[in-house]
Amino acid sequence: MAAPLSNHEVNWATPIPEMGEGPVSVEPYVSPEFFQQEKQKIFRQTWIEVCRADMIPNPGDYQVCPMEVWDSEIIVVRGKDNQIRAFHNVCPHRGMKVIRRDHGESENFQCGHAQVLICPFHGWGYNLDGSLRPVMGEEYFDPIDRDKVGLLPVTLDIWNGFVFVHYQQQPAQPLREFLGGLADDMEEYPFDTFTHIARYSARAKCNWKAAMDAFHEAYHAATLHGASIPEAARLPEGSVPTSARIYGPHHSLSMWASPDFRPSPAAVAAWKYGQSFSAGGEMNLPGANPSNDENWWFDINVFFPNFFCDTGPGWYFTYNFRPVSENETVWTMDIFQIRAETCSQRIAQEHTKVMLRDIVYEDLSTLEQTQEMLASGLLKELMISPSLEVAVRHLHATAVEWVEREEG
Amino acid sequence: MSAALPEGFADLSRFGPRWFGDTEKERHRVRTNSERDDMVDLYNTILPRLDEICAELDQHPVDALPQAHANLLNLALSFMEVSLAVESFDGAPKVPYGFDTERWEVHF
Repeated sequence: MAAPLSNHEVNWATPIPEMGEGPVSVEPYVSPEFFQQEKQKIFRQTWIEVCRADMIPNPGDYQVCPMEVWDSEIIVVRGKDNQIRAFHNVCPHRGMKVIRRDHGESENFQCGHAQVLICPFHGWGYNLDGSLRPVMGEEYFDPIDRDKVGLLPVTLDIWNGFVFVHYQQQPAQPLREFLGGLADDMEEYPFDTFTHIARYSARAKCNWKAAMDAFHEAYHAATLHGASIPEAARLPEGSVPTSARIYGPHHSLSMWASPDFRPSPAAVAAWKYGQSFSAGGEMNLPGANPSNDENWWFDINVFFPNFFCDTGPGWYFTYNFRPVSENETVWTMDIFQIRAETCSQRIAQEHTKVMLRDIVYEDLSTLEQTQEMLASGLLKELMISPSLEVAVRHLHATAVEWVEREEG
Repeated sequence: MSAALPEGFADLSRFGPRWFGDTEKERHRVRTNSERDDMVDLYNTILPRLDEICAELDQHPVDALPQAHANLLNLALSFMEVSLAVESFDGAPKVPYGFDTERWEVHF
């Protein structure tokens, strides 16, 4: 047996629920039937994060988000009254999409601005609050009841600037209650002082849970990131989280920053002028490092079912994993940094962004190769470490628990 | 795009306009279509000049840079763009074994 990975113990900072022991079943990663159950029992019963409110800062700014798990697509739009609302992207007249996509536009998102939303089929127009405007040729229709006919609203609420939507008109739990103890820990993090500096997206032939599993454990870093973070290979104790917290369906891990970390020349330059993603940050922000770990690097915070918000010293980033089918997921990453006051800080910040991006190219590389082999049926079970991969086990157990729930 | 740089940095103009892209999307496109020697040259030239570059740029507000200074900032950002390629990937323009660049969307 190899030498112990680390001298630091995992601080289990919350009670850890029963999640079963031994290997976990491959079926939830590959089964079309299981995915159909997940659509109904998870994605139509939970709050789903779609964007930040400050990504649509002005009245008329909107983002269109496909919601494959709802068999729909939604428009999130800021109204003239500054309220953010969401609607299904469907014209009640004949079912056309009110906002359509042109050649070359991203399949993953559309962002835009409009004073009025006008269906491109017959010109039915809607105000930003979803109400129907005068219809061309209305006298040729049966009387239209404007209290009943308008864009179909989607339930929406906002926590700390993050916009969440819910399939049900009356969700079983309000947003803040659903986000629970994880949101309590993160409540004071100064999200509002950050700037959105990057968005990446990719469509991967991979189950949404298998895709998420590549991002909520650090065990892979010493091997998979041996090139991009050679220090992770030299200091494999970083595989072991310093603390772990489980709050209902959500979970959070804190990562170890070795005091022996030797940054590269570009990282040294970044630290001289500002912040870098590479370990070594000294900025203490409220709402991060909730268990007060020594040698803290950053927190991996995962809100069930599919939203990551990883908080660090001077930067945070989010991932959304939008399931398309049992073996396809749209992944999005948004990176945020404290606003650069000077050009030298701006240059330092570029290092964080480029480093994160190049590391994540490696993370994404595993998704399709893993899914292809999981789908082969060769493996029935996977071996999951109860500590290094606790988040993998927790997500798997939570998805199974929700799917096996009785209706209603 | 003008290829001019601030006084004292004229020797770096050989990197323009290719490495003066003003979005990450453009700088990343250039990097992933570059040769190893190109990136090593950029890296080795800019790294020892970064202090000098920052001192010059910091005389101006970050959101109101004259064009020559904007070019210099973008050049420094291109240095960061290639930094992992040179330091960690032995000059490979794309992340070795990484997810397909063509299927990875950089939105801005």
